[in-house]
Amino acid sequence: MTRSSRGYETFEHTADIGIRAWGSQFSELFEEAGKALFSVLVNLKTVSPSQKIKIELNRESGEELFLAWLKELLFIFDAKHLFLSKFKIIDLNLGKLTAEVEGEPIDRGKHILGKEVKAITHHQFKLVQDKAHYFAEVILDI
Amino acid sequence: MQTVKEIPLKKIDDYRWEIPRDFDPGMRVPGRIFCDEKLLESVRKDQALLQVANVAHLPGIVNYSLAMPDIHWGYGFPIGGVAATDPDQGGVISPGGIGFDINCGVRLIRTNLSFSEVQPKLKTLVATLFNQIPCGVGQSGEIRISQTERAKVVTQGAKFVIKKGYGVEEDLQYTEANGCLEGADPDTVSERAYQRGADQLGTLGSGNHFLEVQTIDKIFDSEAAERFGLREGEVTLMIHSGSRGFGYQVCDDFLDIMRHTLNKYHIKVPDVQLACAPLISPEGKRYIAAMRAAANYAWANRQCLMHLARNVFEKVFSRSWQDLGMHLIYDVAHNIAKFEEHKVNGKEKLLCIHRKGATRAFPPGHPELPEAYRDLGQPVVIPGDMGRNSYLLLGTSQAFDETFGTTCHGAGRVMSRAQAVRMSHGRSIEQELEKQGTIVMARGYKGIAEEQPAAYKDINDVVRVVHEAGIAKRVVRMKPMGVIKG
Repeated sequence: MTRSSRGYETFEHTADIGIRAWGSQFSELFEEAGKALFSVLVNLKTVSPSQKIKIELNRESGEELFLAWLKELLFIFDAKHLFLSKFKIIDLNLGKLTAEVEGEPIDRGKHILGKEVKAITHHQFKLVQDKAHYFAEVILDI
Repeated sequence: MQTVKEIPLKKIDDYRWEIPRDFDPGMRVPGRIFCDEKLLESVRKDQALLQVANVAHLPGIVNYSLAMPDIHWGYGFPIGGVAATDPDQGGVISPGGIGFDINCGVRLIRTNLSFSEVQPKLKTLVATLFNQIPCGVGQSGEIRISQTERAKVVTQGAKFVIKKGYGVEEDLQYTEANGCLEGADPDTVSERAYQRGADQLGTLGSGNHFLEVQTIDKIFDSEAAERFGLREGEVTLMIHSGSRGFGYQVCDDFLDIMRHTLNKYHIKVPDVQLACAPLISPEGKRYIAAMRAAANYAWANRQCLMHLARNVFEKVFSRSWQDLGMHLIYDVAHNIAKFEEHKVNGKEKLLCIHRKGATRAFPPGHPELPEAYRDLGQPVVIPGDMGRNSYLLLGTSQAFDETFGTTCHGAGRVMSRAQAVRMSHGRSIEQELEKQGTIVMARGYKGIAEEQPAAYKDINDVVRVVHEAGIAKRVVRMKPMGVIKG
C-alpha cells in the first residue's frame, strides 16, 4: 500500500457511500475518519472553523468507541448545525476518548454542500491494524 | 461476512420466484420474490437475495420472506423487503426491517392546472419551490416546535400541525392511518432524537428525497382516474420525504439496544443488522412506541411540506389552493411496521407487518381506506426517477392474500453514486433533462448527477411486474416537469 501515513477516502456502495480512514496512530485514525465523514456532508475546503467543542466518550472496546465517535460527530452536525473540519484527539486509551473538534455554523452562501448522512451503519464495518497502520471502513446511510 | 454463494431460485411463474427453505437450515420460511427475468439480472448484482434468505431466519416469521421487484441491497433487510411476524409464535420486531428513515413515504396532490397553464410559468414555479421549501444538507425549517409541543407532534402526527394551520382536516382522511399511529410514546424517544428533529419539520432532506411537479401522461384506468379527479395533461405534485434526523436517531438508538439483547432472548440472526427483539418484550414494545412516534413525525413533516408547496402555487398562480383544486390524493408510508389482521392458514391473525421500501396496497372494501375510495382500493403512490415516470396504482385483493397487502415502492438504484457521477463526466444532466422538458434544481454539488435517471431501474418495468402479478393495478402515469432536491 503506497499511502501516506494518515489519510482518508470515500468508496462506492450501491445506494450509499463508504468512508475509509487510516493512520499510524489510533488517534490519527479517529481524526481522519472525522474528516472523511464531513467530506461527504460538505466540501471541507470551504469550512473555516470558528467554534470549538470538547467531546468525551467512554465505550467497552476500540471498535465501539470508533463508531460512537462518528455517531457523536454526526449528532453535533445535525443538532448544532455545525460543519466540523478540525478534529484533535487529546487523549485516547482503554475505550476512553477526549477530543476537541472545531467547526463553523452552516452558511449556504459560503459552504459547498454535499449530501445528508442519515446514519453510521455497522454493515461491513472494519477496524484493523497492520504493522504500520490502523485502518477502518464504515458505510454511511445516505 | 457471509460467503456469497449462488442463491437457488425456483421459478413459480413469470413474476414469482422462490428461495427454497433448504437453501439455509436457519430459514424458517421460504423467500418469495416478485420479479421478471429482466429485473432479476440487476437484482442478482448485489446481495439483496441473500438478504431475503437472511430475513427468513427471524423468529415468528409467517408464510414467506417477501421481496418486491424494486428490491435492492439494504442494511439487514433488503430495500423492497416485507416480513410478517406473529406475536403468538415468538415473533420479533426488527428496526432494520423498517429502516433508518422511519415512515419515509410519498404523497400525491392533484391540481386543476393543465400542462399548458403551468409550462410558461414552470421556471418561476420550480425556482420559488426551491427557495421556499427547505431542502439539502443541514437546512433548518421555519416551523419551530416548543418543548411542550414536541410530545404532541409525535403522538398526534399530521393532525397536530393541521391544528397549527398547516393544512385542513380533510387532508387527514387521505393520509395512511389518518396521519397518526396510535400508541406512540414520547418517553421512549431519546433526547438526541428530539434534538436532531427540533427544527426539521417541513424540510425535505437530501439523497433521493424530492418534491416534483408532474403532468399526467397516461391513463390506464379511466374510471378510477376520473374518481380521483385525474385527467391526462393535468398537473400533479408529488412529495417524497420522511422522519428526518428524528427517525434516523430512533432507528440508530434501538439497533444499538437490540444488538445487545439478542443473547438475552436467544435469538440467532445471520447478520447483526437484523438485530431484533420479541414483539412482546420490553425492548420490542419500547421500539414500537418510539417507531410510531417517528412515523407520526414523518406524517407531520409531509403535511408541512404540502402546506408550503400549496402556498407557493397560490403565489405563482395568484389563486387559492382550493381554487387550484390542490387536494391530497393520498399519502403512503413505505418504511414502517404495523399491526394488521391477515389470514394465515385460513385463520385471522394479528401480525406485525414490516415494510421496508414497500407500500401497503389494501384491497377494495378494506375498512382502513378513506370512504371516498373504499370501493376502488387503496391509492398507492409510486415515485420513479426524475427523468422517467411516477405512478398512481390501486391495491388489490390478490396483494392482500399474497403479500400481506403490499406492493413495490419505487424504482430502486442500480448504480452507485460515484459510478453515476463518473458516467455523467463532461455532461450536464441538468441540461439533458431540461431538453426533455424537466427542470431540476438541487442544493448538493453532485446531487443531480448522482440521482440521474440512469442510476435507477426503469420504474415502468417495476410497475409492469406488480400490475401483471396482480399485487397492484395501474391507474395513471405521471411525467416529471420540475424537480427540487436536496
